[in-house]
Amino acid sequence: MIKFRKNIWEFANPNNFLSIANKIVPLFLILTIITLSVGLVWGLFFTPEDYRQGSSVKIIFIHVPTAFLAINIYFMMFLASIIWLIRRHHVSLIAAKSAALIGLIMTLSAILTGAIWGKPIWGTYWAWDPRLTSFAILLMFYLGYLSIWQAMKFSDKIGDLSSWLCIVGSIFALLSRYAVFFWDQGLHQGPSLSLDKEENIDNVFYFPLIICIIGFVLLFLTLLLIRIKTEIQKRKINILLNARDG
Amino acid sequence: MLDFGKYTFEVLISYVGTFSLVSIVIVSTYFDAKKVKKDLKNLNIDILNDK
Repeated sequence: MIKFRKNIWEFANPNNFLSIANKIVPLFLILTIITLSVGLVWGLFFTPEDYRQGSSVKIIFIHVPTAFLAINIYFMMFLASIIWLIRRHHVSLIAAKSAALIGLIMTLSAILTGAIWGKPIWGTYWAWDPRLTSFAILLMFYLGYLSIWQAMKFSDKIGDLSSWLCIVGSIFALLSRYAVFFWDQGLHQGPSLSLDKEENIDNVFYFPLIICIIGFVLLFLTLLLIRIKTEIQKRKINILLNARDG
Repeated sequence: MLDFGKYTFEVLISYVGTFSLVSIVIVSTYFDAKKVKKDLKNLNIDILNDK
């Protein structure tokens, strides 16, 4: 059984973090496989065609979860960067670094699936619409963030630099999320999911879509925990090598 | 079996494309984790032998 601790900051200790990560990764992995299989098979094979979009509506089961993650992974990185800058917990910095590649792939996938869907429905692969443009800029910030880490060795200074870049980029993550509300223009329609039941898509698409989003979130968490664990072990190797070689 | 009417190509290319991209992260994460685990194990053995 996983024993939850009272203080969240205890997980800033790499050893505490590793002990809980080792326990929950297998559970998350199983849940990811189940939810993604159910959601995608349901969405792909057991949903009807939309009366206007035809079968291209099935792309939402990939497009919406990846777009949701593209934005929210950046917010997660933003929070982790703030924690790093204020409290100097290395695990939070490692978490932001480990999430970046997954976020980049999700953003790329959201843009590509959106373009593929856009051609038959909007008549164009791309338009300089507020939401699409803010997504393209978000992709650049992911690339910039990863480039900093690729170009230089792990150090607190690089941690600060990447964190500030992440904070600046969060404006575009926010725009990606709310652009459809800020500007009443552009091709992109309103959100597919809303707290207002009236604005939601039909239940026949809604339930498999929710399962797909949960599946993608679990996939992200599983990969993130494994990547954080690997990063912590890499730092351990560096420390041991430095100690051995003097 | 994989016939989604008028937009079959668009639907399939979206799913295959996304799975390919996600597979890159999964495979790189797996092999990176495996390599680091092995390196750490070997390093610990080396350090014990040195002692």
